[in-house]
Amino acid sequence: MSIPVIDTTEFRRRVAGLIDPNRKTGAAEEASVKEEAKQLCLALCELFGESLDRMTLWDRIGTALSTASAKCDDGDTDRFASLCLEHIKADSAAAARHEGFANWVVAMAGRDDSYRQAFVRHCGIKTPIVLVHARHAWEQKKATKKGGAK
Amino acid sequence: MSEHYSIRLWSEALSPITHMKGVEGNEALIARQPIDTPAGKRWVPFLSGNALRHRLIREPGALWLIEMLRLKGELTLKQFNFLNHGGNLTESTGREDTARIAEMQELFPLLRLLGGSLPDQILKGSLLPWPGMLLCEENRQRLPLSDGFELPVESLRPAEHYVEGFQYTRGDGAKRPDWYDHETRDPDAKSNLMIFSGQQVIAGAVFIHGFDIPHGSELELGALLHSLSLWQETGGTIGGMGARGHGRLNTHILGAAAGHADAVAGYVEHVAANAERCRQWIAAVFAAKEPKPKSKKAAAEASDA
Repeated sequence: MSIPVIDTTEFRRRVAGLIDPNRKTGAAEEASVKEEAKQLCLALCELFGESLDRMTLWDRIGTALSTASAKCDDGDTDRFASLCLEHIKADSAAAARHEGFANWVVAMAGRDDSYRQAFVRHCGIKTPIVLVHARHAWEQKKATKKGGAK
Repeated sequence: MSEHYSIRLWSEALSPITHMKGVEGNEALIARQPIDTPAGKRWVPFLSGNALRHRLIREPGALWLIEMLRLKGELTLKQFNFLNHGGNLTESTGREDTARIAEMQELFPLLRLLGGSLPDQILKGSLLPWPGMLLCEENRQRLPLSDGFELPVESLRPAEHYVEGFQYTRGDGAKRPDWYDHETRDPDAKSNLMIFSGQQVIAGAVFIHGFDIPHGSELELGALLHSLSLWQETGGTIGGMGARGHGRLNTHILGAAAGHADAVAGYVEHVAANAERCRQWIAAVFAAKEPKPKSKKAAAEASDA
């Protein structure tokens, strides 16, 4: 009958598991994560399912981001993107053809685990802000298209 | 020969910890303490030293002692409250009976640690508990860690990472009329379904805490470690909602345990060897006092009457 003991080695091992994975990211990395989140949202706008009401575009993308980030806190951005596409009822073939989405997938594949985790956390805990930036970029993109068409 | 004993503990939450302090609307809030950090004041969840002292040491230690002394069911409520809850000073005429204190200190290492209050005398305890401090970045500078137990340079998770909500529902049998006499139900009564919610410190969170015994003896150390073991063996819970599975802590001692087993064995032997004297002491200090002799004036008035 006794209380077990933790020595200094075991203490260090256990504390290592309590280090904040949300480590202080550099300003450049933080900006990059924001930009990637915006690019994903722009792709989701264009891939938004035709069976859905476009009036719910930003609501739906918001819930896609928050539910996907809750399910992918291990930083699996491939699954994250798949869940988002499923949530907005995107056409798989359209997603496969979409250049912006393909660029995003390739860019994330080249990143390390901690970056991908930072991306998922960013989308999860700052969803409204991600949507603000994405919507602003989306409006600009639409305006540019209209200007180009004149 | 007295020594300073220092026990440092690592307690990992195995289930949600709901050591509460107040409510906000319908939501129960966990206990927090303000911490001054480089980023400003932060309110960080903690386990109070008061709760830790009672649940980890006094309750398991006192219940074991009562059983060892074969006093279970024999004690008066006052005696039980003294041993298990610290007791109350209830008599208006306090006293300072040093012989009684000396005898208690000799017989009861557990009470020497915890102190208590007899009806007419307060007995000081020597045990100094640390509050349970969440192992988080905010607490980095003030965790009670011994030499060699150093934190990494990387940031630890922030306190708020460990705080989440819980929600439970208490059902209502009204919708199952086969199981009760529905004539007894008020036809206008609404369903009594109740949802209750609050905050929790999530499983996996770690609290660093401990106990100091200044100028203590090996018997007191033994009493402390013995109580801690009993507490762990009987579930090791802290805080409320134990009936819902909350509050389970898995506790380890940080550092070497040389001499601990001998100290515990020594304490158990000491109690067994002094059981009869312990019983006599408890009976004597709670015995009804003889009425004070009347003053000459009062006696004269009584005889005149």
